[in-house]
Parts: sequence; structure tokens; C-alpha cells
Amino acid sequence: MPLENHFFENILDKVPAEIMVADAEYRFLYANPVAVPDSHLREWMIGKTNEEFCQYSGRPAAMARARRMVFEKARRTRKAVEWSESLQDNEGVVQHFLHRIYPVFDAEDNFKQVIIYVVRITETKEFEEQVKLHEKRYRDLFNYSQALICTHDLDGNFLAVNPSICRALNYTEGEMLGRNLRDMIPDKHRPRYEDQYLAAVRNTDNTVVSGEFCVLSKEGQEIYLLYKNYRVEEPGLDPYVIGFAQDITDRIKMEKELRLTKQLTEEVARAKESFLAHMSHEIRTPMNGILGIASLLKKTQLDSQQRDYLQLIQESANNLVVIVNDILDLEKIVAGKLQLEVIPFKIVDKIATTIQSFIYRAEEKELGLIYQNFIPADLVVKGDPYRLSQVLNNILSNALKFTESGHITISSGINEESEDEVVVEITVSDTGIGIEKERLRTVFEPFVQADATISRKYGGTGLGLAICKNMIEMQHGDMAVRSEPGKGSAFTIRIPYYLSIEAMQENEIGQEIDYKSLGHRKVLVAEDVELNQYLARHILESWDFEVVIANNGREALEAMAEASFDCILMDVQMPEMDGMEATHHIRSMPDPVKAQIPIIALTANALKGDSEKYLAAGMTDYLAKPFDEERLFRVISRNLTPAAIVHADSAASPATNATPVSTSAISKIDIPLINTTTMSHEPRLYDLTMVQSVSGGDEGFIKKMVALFIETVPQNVQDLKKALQEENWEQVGKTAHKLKSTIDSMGIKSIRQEIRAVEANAKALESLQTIPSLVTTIDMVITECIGQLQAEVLN
Amino acid sequence: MELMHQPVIFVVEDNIIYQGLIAKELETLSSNIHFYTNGESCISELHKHPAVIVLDYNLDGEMNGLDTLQRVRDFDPNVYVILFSSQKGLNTKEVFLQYGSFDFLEKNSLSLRTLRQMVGCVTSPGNTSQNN
Repeated sequence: MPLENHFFENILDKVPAEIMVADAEYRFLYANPVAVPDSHLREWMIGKTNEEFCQYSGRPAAMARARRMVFEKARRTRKAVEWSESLQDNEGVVQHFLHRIYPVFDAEDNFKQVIIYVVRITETKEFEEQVKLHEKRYRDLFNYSQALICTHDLDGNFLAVNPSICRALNYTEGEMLGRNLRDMIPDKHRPRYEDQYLAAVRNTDNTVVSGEFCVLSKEGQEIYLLYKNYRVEEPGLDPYVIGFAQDITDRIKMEKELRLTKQLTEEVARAKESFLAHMSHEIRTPMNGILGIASLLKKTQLDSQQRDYLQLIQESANNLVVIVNDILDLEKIVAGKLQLEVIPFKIVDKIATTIQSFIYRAEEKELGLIYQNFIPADLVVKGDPYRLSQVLNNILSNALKFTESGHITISSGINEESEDEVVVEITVSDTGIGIEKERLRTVFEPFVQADATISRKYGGTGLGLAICKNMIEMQHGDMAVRSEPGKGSAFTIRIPYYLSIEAMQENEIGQEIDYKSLGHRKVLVAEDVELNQYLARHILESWDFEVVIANNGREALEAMAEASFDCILMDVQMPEMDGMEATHHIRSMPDPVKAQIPIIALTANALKGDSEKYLAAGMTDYLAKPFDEERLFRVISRNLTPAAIVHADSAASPATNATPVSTSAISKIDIPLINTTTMSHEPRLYDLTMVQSVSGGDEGFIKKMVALFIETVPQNVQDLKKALQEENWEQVGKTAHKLKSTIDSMGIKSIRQEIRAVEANAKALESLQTIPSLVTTIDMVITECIGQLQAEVLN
Repeated sequence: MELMHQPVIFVVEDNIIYQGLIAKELETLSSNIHFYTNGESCISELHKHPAVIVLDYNLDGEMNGLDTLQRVRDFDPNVYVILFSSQKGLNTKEVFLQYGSFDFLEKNSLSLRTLRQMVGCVTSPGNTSQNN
């Protein structure tokens, strides 16, 4: 046994663990060198009690007591007991130890000994604490993160949720845990959630799934989340998903709002366009009534005061019509496409009549209205009198609007003068509220008034000055403003005008028209508005015309079937059958005379470009409503064909002309050209307005152009006839196209329609059988026109 | 010396009358205006570096206005080309983009003045009103 004892002791001495043995009284029997490295102490401690050892080796009494309790527990329970102890070592580092005490029993099962086994666990302990610390850090991250974080299993059941996600969805943690993500997805998004999201997280090819979710908060509000979720697979654990998300509801809302706003803006723009067209129609129709009745009133017995008032009504109404047109033209102004008139007018008269309509308003406000003129009263310029009047109207009404006391001074003069041009300068200065310096820059911008409070106090759209400035600039002029707040403003416009070489009496303005000069005619008026029917009837009957009224296109066709007319006034918009359709039917009538009757479109549509549409539809000419007697006369007289005039003449003569009333230009061959008396009745086939306007008064240029026309056009007509003979339709179309602009530039309006028909039919290879007669007409008219030009312009 | 400052303007127009009208309308803008009745001759003189080309669609010769426009673009992508024509359908975004015209103006009785304004804008930048 000594050997055996020795053998075991040797082993125990070498074991790298602390091992001690004590008897049933907790007296030490053995301690290995690892447990007690000091050999003296090791020898000393044998036979000593736990308490003696602890005291001797400097261990605290509390530790001795604790050890005794563990010892007693092991004896009592007859089982091994484990406990841990911490102790500061010599270097002051706390060391942790795991103690294990095993009770040992003898053959009779009596408690005999204990074996105490101690392992130092300091490193293990630190690791555990670090794990705890990390865990805490991660939990903090989870708890305090702004990101919405959750974990869920592959079926979407929540495993953990962080406070952010709870806050975002307004649930408590308890309410969310155990629920399924599916419950929070709105019904409409569920298929997508299941088919795409769940399928994606279950697919082992993916570890990351990202995208957008819409989930419902507790209150049922839709919340949009931008998520990036990771599938986590740990050995021994069911795979689960960690989700990170961001609340992007605001962003989505904003995007939606932006889209909505954009859509709204576009709708508003469309609404604005249709509103403008509508408004033009709606205003023009009653204006037609006002202007028409006013002109009828003018024909009655009036005293001079009534006549003056009537004049003002007419001027104001005319201005309103111009303004309606301008609102429509605003877009065109910006695009630089506003069409300006170029007609001769007396500039001083125009300025004076414009000012005149403000006299009453100035008197009402007890303001002085002073006109200082330095322009020769009889100066005739060429340009757009309506635009000038409109600009002046605008500036004057502003001046009146913003002036409470004092006076408004208008001064006009000639700024520069050359042989054929003058620059007219007009200044309107007032003693009104004036404009602040910072706002002077923006007064010409559309929809900007000098002060936002102004529109409330004084009204107005803020469009006026923008239109004025644009209009003046389009006439190559400029507009400027000076102002001192509290003292007044001065607006100055400068516009260059060509001097008119034509004498005024040769022009339309101021010319007395003999309304009975056209003789007895029969006119069909297709018009649905009763007031307009009445007006047209009264005006036309006062010219000795016979008038038949049709309420719509269908009635017009019926009237055409029953009787012959010299001309039709055709409203474009009518119930049952509109003017375009009726025109189409008339143009395809079998009777060539009826089929070619002049049709004048009456339209309330002020949109420019529409005119081309009417002409393309087969109408001969058009007249925008509201029309006045003068314009109606002009358009009718220029469209009654020469043949018809001959007919009217011959009807008066005893020698009855067998030629039927025809509107076809072909019948002109019946007119003997050598007959000078007929020639004098013959209206001019050409209109050199365009060439004249380009010439700037250069007579030589006009002659040159006319000579060029006479020189080149017969060849073009020959080419056309040759191509026609060869039935080379492409060439016919091309030549007709070329002739078209030539014919337009010489203002040969009677074949305006014919040349377009040739071009269109030849290009479309349609109605080719109509082309030969059209070409014949064109040839005749051009030949005759050349004769007129030679006689009247070149000589 | 004076001629040095005159912008070069090309007018490609087969209608002699219209040539005359355009010439008159543009004469205040430049005395250096060249006229062609077909695209080929216009192309052969591009080395004169026109500032503006006023181009009709229908032309004498093999090329029409759009053919000419394409050849002009091959030579100089920046020259200002105004399609001035009564041809329908040229005033479309497609034409503007595909062929690189900068402007379109329909021929009618009122558009010559507009043409002068357009050309004036290009030849004297910053000075659109040439009467003052």
C-alpha cells in the first residue's frame, strides 16, 4: 500500500489542478503543490481544520465560514457541491475559481472524506462578461436605433421587434410579437407580399431581400417601408430573417403629391386653353349683338349727344373685342406669332379718340386730362392702329386707376424722322401713387402687379402691361417707365411707323361706302342664333338684298335645293349640321353653279389658324364675329363674282344675257376683255397689300415684283398644263404648290381655293377629274390678272 | 469694310417672286444675302459660312428642303436654319429634332415680317428691334 499511496500521491502532485483531501471533520489530509505551492505551508496544514488553514494563510473569515457551509451541504446531501470563489492575487488581479467538493464514503457507507477540486476560471469568466457586454451593446443598438428592426421566421411570424418599429406602427412590443407580418399588409398588397417577399426569403439562393413594403399601422394608416432583410441560418437553429427598414411614407406621399400636382397643372393648362377658346366664343356672340344693334341705332334719327354716346359705346365694345382677341393671342405673343395689321391711319386721330373715351372717367374722379400734341394732325402712317389704341387704353386706364388727385398728361411727338419712317413717342404721366423702385423692374412681367395688395384694391389681371410691352416690341418699338413713389409715374412708348404714301381716301378707313352699289342680291344666311339672324337680315335688307334664313346646315341645304343664291353666310357652329359639313355637301352638288357658290364662314372662334381650316373645308372666305356692316360689305363684295355682277348689270339692261348666274370663274370668259366699260366694272383680281407692305413704299420694288410675276407665271402655268396633259400628277402637285405661294403673294383671291384643290387632289391622287377644269379656271384668271396688272400697275 | 460686318444670309427658294419679297424684307438686315433655287448650289457654297439659312421645302433640283437641311447639318451643326414653307406638316417636333431646323415659319401674307424678326434676332443678338 505505501507504494500504492506513493504512486497516487505522485500522480496527484502532477495534476494541473488544485486538489485537496480532508476528513469528516474538514481537517486536511492532503494538498497537492498546485493547491498550496508553499511546501512548508503544505506540511503545516496537514491535520489542521479549514478554519485554522484559512486564518493562517490570510484568507478572510467569511470565506472559511462559506467553505464550512458548503462542506456541511456535501455531507448532508451526500452529493458533490460546486461553488465559485473570487480572490485577489498578489498582483491585485481578481482571480475566479470554481470549487467542487466530492463527498467520499466508506464500505459501510459512512461519510469518510471529501476531495476538493479547484479550477481557476478567470479567463472563462471574462469571456462570459464580454459576451454579456456585447449582448448589451447589440441590445442597445436594437433598442435605440432609429432604424426599424425586427426578426421573423420564414412564415413571417415576428420573433423580435425594436422600439422604433413599434413606434412607427404604433403597436406595443407585446402586441406585435406573436403576430404575423401578413396581418399588417394591406389586402391589395398581400398577393405581392406572399408571392414575392415570402418566396424570396425562403429561397436559399438569397440571403438579402430588399424593396418596398406597405404596412398598416395600428390605426390602419398606410406606412411605406424601404427594407433590406437578411436571412440568418445558424447551425442548430431554425432559419430566420432580420429586417431593417426605414419609414419612407413621407417621401412616397410627397412623390404622390408631386405627381398629382403635375397632373393638376397639366389639367389646369388644358382647362385654361379651352376656357380661353370658350370665353372668346361666349364674349364674341353677345358683342356681335351689341355692335350690330349699335350700328342699326346709328342709322336712326339721333341728336348729336346721342350720337356721341353711341360712338363711345361702339369704341368701347370694339376695344373689348380687341382685348378678347389679345387674351387669346397672349400665348402667340410669347411665341412671337402675333399678327399685326399694316394699314394706313391718321395717328393723331387715333390717339385723340383713344383719349376721348377717358374724358368722362377723368371728370368723374375730378382729374385733369391734358393732351399735348406735337405730331402734324394729317400725318398718315402705316401700322396697326388697334394695337396702338389698345396699348394707350391700357396705360391710360392704369393712370386713371392709380391717380386720386392731380392730372394725367399725354404728350405725343415725333422722335426721329427719315424719308419714309417716323418714330412716334407718346408719354403718359400721372400724379398718382407711383411705383416703388424695386418693383419697377417687374411691372412688365405677366401677372405681376406692382403690389400684391393692388389687385385687391384696384382689381385687374396684371396682364395689361406685359401685353403692352410685348406688343410694342413686336412693332419694333420700346416701352419704358419712370416713377417716384407718391409722386407719379410716366410711361413712354416709342413705335416706328412707315409713312404711308397712299392718300387716305383711297383706303378703307374713312372711305364712304355705297352699300347699295352691289345691286339686288339674294343671300342665304345659315345661322342658329336668332339675334344674329336678325342683325344679318337687317343689315343685308338695308342694302336692297333679299335674305333667306336657315337655322342650321340641313335647312341651308334645303333652301339651296329650292332656290339659287348669290352667296351664303355660313355659321360654323350650328346644331344638327354644322357649317363645315353643309359646305361639304354643297361643294359636291351635281349642279356646278350651285356647287361653286361663294360660302363665307361666320365664326366666333377667334383662334388664328382656324381660317385655314375653313378654307380647306371648301369655304371661300371667312368673317370673324362680331362683324360690322362695313366688314360684312367688304367680304361679300369681294366674293361676289364678276360674272354675277355682269348678270346684275345685264338684268337691268334690256338685252337679256343668257348666261346663268354663275359663281364659277370659268364664266369670266364671257366677259369681253376689250370692252372697257366692262373692265371698269371688273373688280381687281389682285391685291398688292402684301407686296406693298414689304416694299415699305418703294414703288420701284412693287413694279419689279409685278414684272417678275408677269414674266415667270405664264411659264409656271404652262408647266402645270403640260404636266396635266401628261397626267404626271406628282409634277402637277409640285407646280401647283409653287404657284400657290405666287398667287397668294399677288393676292389673287378668286383662285386661292382652286390652286389649293389642284395641289391637294394631285398629291392625294383623288378627284383627279376635277383638276382640268380647275386648271382652266386658274389659267383664265391669271391671264386676265396679268392684263389688269399690265394696265394698272406697269403703265 | 462695311461688308465685313454684314451677316451672310442664304435664302434657298425656288419661287422667284418669293425670292424678291424675301430679299426686300431682309435688305435692312444685311447686304450679304445669297439666293439659291436649289439645295445643291446652297450646299456647294456653305464655305461662305452663312449665319442664317432660310429654306423652302419645295426646291428645284433633286433635293428638297429636308434633304438640304440634313446636308447643311453634316457641314455645320450650328448654322441657324429657318424652314420657311407653305408645306404642311413641317411644323412638327419630329422634323425639328430629326433634321435639326431651329425654326419653322409658314408662308402666308403676314409671315414675311415675322421672318425678318427671326432673322434679325439671329444676326444681331441682343438687338431685336432694329428700328431704334
